[in-house]
Amino acid sequence: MTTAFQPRTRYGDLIADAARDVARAAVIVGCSPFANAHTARETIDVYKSLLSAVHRHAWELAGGPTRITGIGASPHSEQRDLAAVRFIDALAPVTMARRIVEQPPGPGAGRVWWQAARSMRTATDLLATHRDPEGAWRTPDSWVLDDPDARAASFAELALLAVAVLAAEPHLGLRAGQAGLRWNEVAQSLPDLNQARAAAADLIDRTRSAGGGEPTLAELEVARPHLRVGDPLSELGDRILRLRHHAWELTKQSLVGVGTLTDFAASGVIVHAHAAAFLAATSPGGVNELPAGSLPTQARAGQATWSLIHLQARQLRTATPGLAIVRHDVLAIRDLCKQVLPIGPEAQTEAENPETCDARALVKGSVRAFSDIARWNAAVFDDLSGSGQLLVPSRTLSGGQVSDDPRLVASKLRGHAAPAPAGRIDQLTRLYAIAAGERRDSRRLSVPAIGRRADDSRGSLGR
Amino acid sequence: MSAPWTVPARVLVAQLDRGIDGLWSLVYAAQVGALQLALGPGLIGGVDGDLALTLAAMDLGEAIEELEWHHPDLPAVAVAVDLGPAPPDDLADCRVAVAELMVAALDVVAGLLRDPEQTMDTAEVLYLARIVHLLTNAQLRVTGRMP
Repeated sequence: MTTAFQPRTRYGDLIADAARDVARAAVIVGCSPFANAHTARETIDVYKSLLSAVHRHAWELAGGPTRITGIGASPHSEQRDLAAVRFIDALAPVTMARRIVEQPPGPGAGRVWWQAARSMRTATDLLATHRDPEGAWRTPDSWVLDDPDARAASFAELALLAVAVLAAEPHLGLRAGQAGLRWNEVAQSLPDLNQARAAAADLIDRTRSAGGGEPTLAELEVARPHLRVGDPLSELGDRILRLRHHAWELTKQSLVGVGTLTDFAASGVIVHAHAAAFLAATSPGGVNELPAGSLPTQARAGQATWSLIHLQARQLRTATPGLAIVRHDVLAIRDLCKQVLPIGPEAQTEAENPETCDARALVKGSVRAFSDIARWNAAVFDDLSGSGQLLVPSRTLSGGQVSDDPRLVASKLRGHAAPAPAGRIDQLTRLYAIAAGERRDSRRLSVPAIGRRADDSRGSLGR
Repeated sequence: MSAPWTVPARVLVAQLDRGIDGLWSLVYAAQVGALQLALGPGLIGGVDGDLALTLAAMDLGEAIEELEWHHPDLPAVAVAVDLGPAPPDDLADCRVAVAELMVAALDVVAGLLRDPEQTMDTAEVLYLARIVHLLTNAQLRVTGRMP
């Protein structure tokens, strides 16, 4: 049984929302006068709060204080980075220490700018979740924040938005004066923004060529989101993503239990088997004649490869125990797969389910996620074998396996745990490479694909 | 042509001692057997088309972890038996062999839990109880009785 997929908010959605609100506000402030002086003051406050949100966002995009100082100090900084720093510096005097307007003002331009500022700040917070206090990446996809092209593309978008916001200032002043504010109060409330306009225009020039391809920040979701346990389809996607996240985290640890690698392998078998059954039931014309690279073929091959990894890894031992949280997720995935991607006669019923499209997107994303998991598991396995942590019960070794290595002979004779033989390690290494699909574009962002349709152009938070 | 799995499995059941070492050997042989069998031909609609063997192997793997956690020397001292590649023409016999190994393992656990000399502490009793659940689950899966 599948249910409607609950999409998560992405960075690109928030920026698109902010842009739409800025455009709406431009029309309103250009065409409608303020009702009174109070509304005018309120709107000016919100406008400056929006500029502050843009400034804070630029600060986050640029990588925070350490990097910004470094860009300014280095003689080798890229021109587009220098332009970004000039933009941040130009906005600083008018936005520093600007308080956030908590409550939405009444209907009009102020309300719409307030919404834009909220989207902007949410986008800033979303990016901030991807770094720890030292600035290190917190998720397998956080690297995109430090990709020069992705950052430049986002700066280009932000600069375009800033130009539109800054262009409203003369109209805003005029409308405020017309509404009864003294002109000297208007002048004091709205500081000179010419330098900020020039810096934004320069930033557009420097970054305009960036973007249009991958990687991009648009697909980023909040780091380490909570599990959506109310809906099996969403929960399955979230748990697979969490598994992927754990697989990435393990690459940074020196002591990993092989039991955890075994659990990943078991989940690989389960997910691929359910995916293959689902695709077989829902693909028109069956899956027998499909080419090697097709998704159903990948799922079937994935099940076979992960089954072999499962068999091989189960016979290895480490002193470090497995992680309980991974085991817990694998068991939950096992149960959710039964509900969402049933095997057997139920799979055929599922083919007629209107939510099949969501489930297909989930399957596609899951196969990609397990390709990443295989790559990171391979790295962990490599570390474990390189540091001599992998052991086997010596009684499982045959005479042929121990005869070339005196250490193995001694272990077998004394009944000790023996180091894993090189042949077994090589075999598993090859299997991981097959499961990973030998992907060369290892930095490609794959996380958002889980549970998302290709033509999904949904809105944002609160919809 | 390799011998049917039930032959070595029954020898193993008959010959092994009824202690923790023997229990580990039975569970280990059943786990490797289930994993080997899961690699069988025709993944969709084939021998492990419903994933029963893979899921049983997970349960057995957990049981082995429990045993090794309480007795870390087991992998080194206990007899490790691999029934070998599954004969493709006799997969039903292989499934029976794996199920028999698990029944024998359950029998050993039951004997240990009877503990006539009252030597087991509470922790030991509880971990064996957990193993009973895992073995029962795995046995039901392999015999196709798990819903």
